[in-house]
Amino acid sequence: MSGFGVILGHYVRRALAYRWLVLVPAVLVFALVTLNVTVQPDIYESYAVLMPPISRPTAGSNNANREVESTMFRSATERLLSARALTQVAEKLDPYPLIRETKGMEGVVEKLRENIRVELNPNAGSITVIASHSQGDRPAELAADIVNTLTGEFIKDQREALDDNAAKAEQFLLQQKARQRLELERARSAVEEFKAKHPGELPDDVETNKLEIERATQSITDNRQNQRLFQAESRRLQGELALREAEMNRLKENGDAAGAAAVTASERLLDSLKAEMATLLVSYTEDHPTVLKRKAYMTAVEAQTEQLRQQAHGGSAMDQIALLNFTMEEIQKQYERSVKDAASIDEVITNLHRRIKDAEERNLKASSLEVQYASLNRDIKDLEERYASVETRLAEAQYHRKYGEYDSTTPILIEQSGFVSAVPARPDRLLTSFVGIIVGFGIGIGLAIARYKLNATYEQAEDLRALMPGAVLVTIPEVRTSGVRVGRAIAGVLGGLLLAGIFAGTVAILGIQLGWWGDPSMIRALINLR
Amino acid sequence: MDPKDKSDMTPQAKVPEMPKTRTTPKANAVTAGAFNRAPAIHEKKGVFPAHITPGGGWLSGLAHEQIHALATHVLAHHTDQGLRTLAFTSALAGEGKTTLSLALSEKLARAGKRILVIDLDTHRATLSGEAGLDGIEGAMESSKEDGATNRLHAYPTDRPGVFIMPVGKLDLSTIGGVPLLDPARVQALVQRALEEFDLVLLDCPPLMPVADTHVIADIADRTVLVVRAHSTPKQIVEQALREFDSGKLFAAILNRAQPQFIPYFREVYGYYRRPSAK
Repeated sequence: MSGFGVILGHYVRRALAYRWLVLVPAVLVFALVTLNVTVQPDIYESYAVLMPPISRPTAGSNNANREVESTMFRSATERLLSARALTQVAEKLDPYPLIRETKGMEGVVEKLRENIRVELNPNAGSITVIASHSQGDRPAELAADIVNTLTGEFIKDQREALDDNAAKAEQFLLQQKARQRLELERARSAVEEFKAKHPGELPDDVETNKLEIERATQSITDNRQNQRLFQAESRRLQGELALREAEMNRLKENGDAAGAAAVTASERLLDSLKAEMATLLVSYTEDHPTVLKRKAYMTAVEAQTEQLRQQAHGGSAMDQIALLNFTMEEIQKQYERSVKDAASIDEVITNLHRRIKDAEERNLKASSLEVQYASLNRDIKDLEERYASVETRLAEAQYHRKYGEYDSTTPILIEQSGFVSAVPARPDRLLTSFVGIIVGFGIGIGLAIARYKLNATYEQAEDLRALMPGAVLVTIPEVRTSGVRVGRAIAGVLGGLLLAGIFAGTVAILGIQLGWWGDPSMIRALINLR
Repeated sequence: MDPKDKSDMTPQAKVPEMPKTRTTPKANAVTAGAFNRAPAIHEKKGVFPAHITPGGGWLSGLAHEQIHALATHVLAHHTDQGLRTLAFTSALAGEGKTTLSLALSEKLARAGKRILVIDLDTHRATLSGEAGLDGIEGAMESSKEDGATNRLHAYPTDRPGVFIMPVGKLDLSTIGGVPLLDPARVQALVQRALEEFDLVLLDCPPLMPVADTHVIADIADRTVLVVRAHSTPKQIVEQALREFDSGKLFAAILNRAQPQFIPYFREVYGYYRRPSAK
């Protein structure tokens, strides 16, 4: 047999040996507990569940929310169990007329406080109001009436209080809004003054200044390019003037070009004629007809040449000179303008440099004003946020007040109204009896264990073996005489029957009470008889 | 029976004749006049433990088998090592010494041995009482005289080969009460008994309350310790054994154990039920 089997067998043997020690307490405790719950009066309970309408998370940590909820629940509990609330219930329902007659309304309130309990369920975010009522001569529904009246009055009181609070809150928020508005305007004025005092020097203008610097730098580059172009143009115009002047001198000297060409051709013809004459004079005399003829021809060419010369310096050349003069005057004007423009660009560039310097200086100032300006802007932002928040809260408060809804963390509504079950809430006879038998078994097992642990006698040969090694071990069983055996058997049977009877009787009583069989009122009648 | 009546009984001159099948040669050699005989012993029922029998149910059978095993060991030691004197003691009174010594004596006698059971418990004299031998001559008287001339006041029983020697006449009302056991006289008594019997079983007082057992244990060859299960505290048994010469301990008997604490008792149950069913 395995080690576990040996150990199991060991305990099973002891369990068998101590069976009565286990069974007797189990049955007796079961019977006593069952009888005890049998004679206890039926208590009916009714409960209502109260909770906020919306479980929405609020700002802040979970711990903070829980703390708020806890505070709210505690406050609700105090109000539910306050003398005022209980007095209202007592006046409306008169639940305990006997107590009222003997101890007055204070006694009734005290009795209500005993029978009403409030349980907070932080996890579910709810409050359970439980009223218990021992039936007596009043209907079980009284428990539900109590709990519903109490919670109804609570909700009503709460609504009134919340409405009052909402009106106050709205008034307060209106004042807050006006104040925030004033502060915001002041802050904005301060910023405007600051801006006016530091034009272009604000951090907002830094980028603008940088852009201006970039543009001015680019403009300088462009102007320099233009200046160079103007200078080149002026030089070109200067050359143009020189050409025109030379042309005019030539015209003044040679006339127009066609005439000059004709004069030149005529002069060349005359020169060739002169050369021919010289050749002829070698061969001929001056009076030779050929020579004379040539001379005459030469004279005619000379006259023609003179005539052509006169014609070249005539009207056409003059017109050209006049035109050249006009052109030269225009070119001179252009030249002067170009020179002037080139000179004026220097001034523009100087101005641009000044603008760059100014922008750089403004940016330098902006960095020193940054903190002050940011502070002013932050003030405005904060005030705007506050103002917006106040506006929102005010709008919410006005809305909730208008429609009877309040901040979700404060109002509590009835989630479930109270009603009374047909079965009494207490005592839970089945559970109690079950617990009784379990406890009885526990006691019995505890006694058996205690007896086993406290047992200092020898039970089996093995116990002796360690004490007397080497000795012959013999175990003689308990052999009872037939009389003893019969007596013990009878006692065992009688004891068993007694226990079984007690157990069966207890189960029977329990069954009747629970309506498994028989009429539960029979038990109640027996108790009343007693 | 009234002890006073028994005190007037005249010792028999002869040892009652044993059945031949049960009588050993040594038993036949017992001299006449050496024994007292109480005729009432034969009539008295219940001296021997009736519940330790093979046919008395499975528990009785199991008990009988255990005694049988013990007797086998005793006989083996008797043969091999010359064991002849066995003292029965216990830590406390009422643990079953007398019952078990009688059961063993019966078993040994069935093996053909002549057994004498001497009641040396001068305090309670349980054996003498149960055998109906109160107030008559016994161990005290048998050890008064010297040596071999002692007359053994042994009485036969209804079990052939088993004799009982009561504790003898004790006047507990006198000053001094229970007499001291003289080791020399007990030694002489045992020696004398061994001349007539194969084995002598000494029913001793318990170890803890009385010192006599230490004297007797010195004289006996071996000792059997009887421990009552579920009753005698371990501490007392251990204390008793500390004051005892454990070298002479022959056997330990756990008496009156609950069946469920006997190993394999369910298997044994079937074995011992069958004979009784027949």
